[in-house]
Amino acid sequence: METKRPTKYRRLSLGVLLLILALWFGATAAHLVSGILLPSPQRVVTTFISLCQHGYNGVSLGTHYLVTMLRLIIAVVAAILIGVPLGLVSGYLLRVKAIVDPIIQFIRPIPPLAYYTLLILWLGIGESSKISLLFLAAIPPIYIACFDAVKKVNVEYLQSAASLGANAKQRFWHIVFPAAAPDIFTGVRSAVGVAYTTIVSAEMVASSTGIGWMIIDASHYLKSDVMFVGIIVLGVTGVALDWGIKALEHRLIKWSGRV
Amino acid sequence: MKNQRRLKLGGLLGVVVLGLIGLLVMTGASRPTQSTTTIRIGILRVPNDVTAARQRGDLQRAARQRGYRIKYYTFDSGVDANKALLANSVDLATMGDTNAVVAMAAKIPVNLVWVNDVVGSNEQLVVRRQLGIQRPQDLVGKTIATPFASTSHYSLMMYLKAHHLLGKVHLMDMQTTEIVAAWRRGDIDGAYTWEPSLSNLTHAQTLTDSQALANAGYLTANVTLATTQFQRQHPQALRMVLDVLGQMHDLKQTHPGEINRTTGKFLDLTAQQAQTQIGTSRWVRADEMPRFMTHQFTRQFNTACQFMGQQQTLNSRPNYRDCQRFIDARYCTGGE
Repeated sequence: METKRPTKYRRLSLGVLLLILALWFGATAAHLVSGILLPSPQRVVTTFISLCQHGYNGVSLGTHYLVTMLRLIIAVVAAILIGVPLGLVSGYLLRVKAIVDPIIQFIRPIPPLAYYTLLILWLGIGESSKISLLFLAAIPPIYIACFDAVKKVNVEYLQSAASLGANAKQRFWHIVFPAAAPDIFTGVRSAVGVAYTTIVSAEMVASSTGIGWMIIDASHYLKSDVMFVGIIVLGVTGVALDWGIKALEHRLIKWSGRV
Repeated sequence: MKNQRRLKLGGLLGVVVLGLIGLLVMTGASRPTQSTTTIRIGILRVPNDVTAARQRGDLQRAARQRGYRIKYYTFDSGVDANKALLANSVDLATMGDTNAVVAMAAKIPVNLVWVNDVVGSNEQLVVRRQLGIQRPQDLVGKTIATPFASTSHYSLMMYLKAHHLLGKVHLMDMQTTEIVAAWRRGDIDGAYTWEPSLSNLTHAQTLTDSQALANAGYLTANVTLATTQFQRQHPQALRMVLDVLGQMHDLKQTHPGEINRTTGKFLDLTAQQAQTQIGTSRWVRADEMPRFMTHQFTRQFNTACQFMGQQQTLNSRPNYRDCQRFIDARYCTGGE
């Protein structure tokens, strides 16, 4: 019974997916809706193939995809490099927290589009403004996850380590960091998620490459088939990214849930 | 086990219901929804015939006499106007003719019923003066911004094509306000855009304008589209609206100052500023309109259509016959 469950649920998910496909197919085959509002699955597939062959706006679909992913990866890596130490140190040293926390808490709830125009005015229309937008979206979840992780560390561990003669540095590297690692991964996962949802906004202004830009440009010409291809590509990639990070966490951190 | 099966059934049912609701919403959007006597007009914030007629109160007066009310919706671009037409949220909408090509190729149930103005010096290709550009070939490798899918975008492409520069110039998709910001920062070398953003591009040198391109056979215009449903249900209302717009066109011939003053007043501009924004755009006289639409303009519209089709930016490849069917001059009374 216990072992059967996961496959059963997986079948349920698959069923839902197939049902949506069937409904989509049926609705377009019966011409219930205009092809502009909802292009048929066949049309989306042929559009995908022709985009792979001819590209969009003279740039191949693969390049659009790579450009988007590169922007995302650079932003997230920068957010990890800065956010993780900042969050951990903030949780460990109250003085640092007092300096950093208000800034992050202020940025966190603002919708990125609200300050995007400012970023463009300050940093220009090139890559830096786009990557900064994604970076600013990604850093708060990482910072907060790290900060909370440190706060969650069992005080008794730290006390016993201290009584055994471990200095602050040793306590940090041998107790705080390993204990916080699973939460850091959770933070990275949600950071990728948040940055990912801002990717279309980031490519909305002064762009001519990227999957997000492709979707926006196709909407100018009411090419809903191209928009569907872009949305599906983004959706599948999003699921794959999340799955990949989860797998990585599983492999790297074996002690999760045992501390 | 039983519980689980029930759960599964429930889930499936939920998805089916959601799907059906989605379909209903989408079919609802394309179904006739309103038969009241409100005329819903989508407008652009520019000094044109609709603005003049609205500020002077002519449109409202004519509508009231026939028992209609007019409601205006402001759009930033023809792209948004097209979405509104597709969703049946407006009856009439003004936009650049390139957006009208998109509407035709996407088979939105609309027709082109009026040419508001033929674009002239109010849309220009400008470059930084310090670049010292002497001939079109000097543009190779430069970055030029324009709002994609606009009449300016089309004019720019035509200019580049005429000088064999397609693919040799870096094009950037920006809205007009972003163009001004990017220009000030020095991020772009040039731009093809319209007023009022054009006047904000300082130290600029004009390479060409839409007047020159129109003379070379690449005419662009702002046009009005009407939904087929509105044409069917309220043909006399459509005739009435176009009649008033025709009077504005005639007024521009006889009293251009009055047009500058009224449109400027509506947009919080001085008459001088309004005049700059109107530039040399041509408002075809009402009595010439039917012939202009069905002859010269249809040919130009087809040229734009074929070019955009080649660029693979359209949903289908319309031909000359499609353009003739799409452009409907029946509602222009010709100033009678």
